[in-house]
Amino acid sequence: MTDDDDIRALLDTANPVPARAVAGLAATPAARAALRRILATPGSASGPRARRRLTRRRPRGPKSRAGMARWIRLALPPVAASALVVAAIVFGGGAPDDGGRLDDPAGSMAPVAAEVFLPGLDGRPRGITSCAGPASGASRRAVTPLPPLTGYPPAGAVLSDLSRTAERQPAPERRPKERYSRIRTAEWSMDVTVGSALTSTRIVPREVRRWIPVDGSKAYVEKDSTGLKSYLIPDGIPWVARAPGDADGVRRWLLDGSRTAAAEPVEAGDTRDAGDAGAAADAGDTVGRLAEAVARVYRYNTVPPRLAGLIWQVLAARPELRALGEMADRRQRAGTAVAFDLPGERWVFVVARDTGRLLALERVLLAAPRKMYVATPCSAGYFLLDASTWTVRVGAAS
Amino acid sequence: MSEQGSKETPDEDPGGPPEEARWLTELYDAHYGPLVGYIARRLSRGSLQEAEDIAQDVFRMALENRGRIVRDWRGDEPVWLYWKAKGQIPNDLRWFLRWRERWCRTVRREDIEPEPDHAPGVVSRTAVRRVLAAMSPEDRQVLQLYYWDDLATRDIGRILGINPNAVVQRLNRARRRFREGWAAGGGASGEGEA
Repeated sequence: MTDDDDIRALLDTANPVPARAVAGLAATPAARAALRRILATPGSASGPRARRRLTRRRPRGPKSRAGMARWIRLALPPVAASALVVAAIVFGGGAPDDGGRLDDPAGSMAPVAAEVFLPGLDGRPRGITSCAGPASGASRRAVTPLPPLTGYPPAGAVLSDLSRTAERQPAPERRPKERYSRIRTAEWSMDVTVGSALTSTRIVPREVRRWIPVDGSKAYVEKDSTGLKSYLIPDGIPWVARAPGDADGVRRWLLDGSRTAAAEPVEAGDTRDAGDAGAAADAGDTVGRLAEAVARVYRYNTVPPRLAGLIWQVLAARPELRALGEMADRRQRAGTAVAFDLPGERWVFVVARDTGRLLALERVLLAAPRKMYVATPCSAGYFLLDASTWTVRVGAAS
Repeated sequence: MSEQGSKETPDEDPGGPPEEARWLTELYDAHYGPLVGYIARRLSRGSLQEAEDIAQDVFRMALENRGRIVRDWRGDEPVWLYWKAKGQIPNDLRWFLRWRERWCRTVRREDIEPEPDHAPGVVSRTAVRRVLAAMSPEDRQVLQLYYWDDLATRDIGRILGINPNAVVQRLNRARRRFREGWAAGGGASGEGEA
């Protein structure tokens, strides 16, 4: 018990994570998928300097002009700091929640593509790239506009089909001990800095896990590449635990949440959550408010399939929604696309046709002020729902 | 493990410079598992999943800082991973503890994933842990790095930012104190534990 080997043998018995527990870990499907995500992270291949620039948050900028600031507030999700205007558009994603209980499928998922392809009127996909633009007007280029939504068929029938499909899915019950929704998303936010002489846009891709108390308590925990943080939950979130059991009730439930959320301050020092409530709520349009509320439902809740069905049923009644056709989301998951227009932008829901789960929400900028120097249409944000389930513990894998 | 890794390598480069992708993939294949273990051992309440998240962040940072790592840590790139991970763990825990203190009424303390309970020790797991707990943090740290993480004294020195000779001295002192602690009764009371 005195020489080196004995000490090693003794310490081995107390090793909380023996080497055998992690042997071969790099070869597991989840680890390979993680490696692919790391290598595919936009900006990662362009070197440390570029990456630092991408991830720097809330840059200081010159004072904005009133008109531009107003446009930003109307057309993009809000946010403003005193001497600068930063519009942070956050899309969190929809999520393939898997019917309420979904094991984390990250291991089998494709990396997030930088470009999304929307179905065109002629059936040919149209690639939409990021709005992250140059800070100079010199490289602004003209891009063919997206076809008007009126050219696409109404989405009522498609959404009704999705509603029925979702309601047919198995509906596992949440166990009483499972007090948290664990939601994993890939999101993309766009920061816009507007000044009298300079405008710059940048994209901030994030893969996020959130643990959110299902009872609507006041805080939740979020983890991304910058670490573990807690955030206040804004008021007005439509909580699944309080969702009615009929379509009309669900419509009122969604609209109530949207109205409250629109004016809701978000956590001190953090403006990102305000993004969801932005353009849609400001537009004062019912379909916009409904869609914004749906985004919030999926962002903060694990949505059971029956409720997902009711949500699609509510949206099916809205004539503004149009069926774009089949498309793949940024993780190459097949779905059907349903879209509507708000002033200056188009929202696209991608829903899995075989399960009725929300896969993704894309936000496409159709027009931008000249000073933004971005070529529209372009992608202003997205939200991919990678996994959504209930869990007993924060930080637990299941 | 390596066979599978090498098969997937071509798919793992989504178009970035192949040299960077190859560099990171080789590091990842060889050191991902050990690094996860290293992190997990230091997460007092973390799960293996949590350790994997942190490890992946470290590899992401490695890719972002490749130029500097290759320049400043040439030949010691794996050591950089451990060195960086060491800084990430307290950050995570600090955030987490602060949050837990503020919002304990929202998320219950007992809901935090506990340290995984691994296979029962044959004789003396608790006794060994008791001896370790009684040692100074510096002694305990060097023992864990040397015996649990299986790192060389030179690498330990680079991770801790101290001279390798100082590591050897600290390791000898830690061994001596461990033996003394074990002989003083820490081990005797643990004998026979299931």
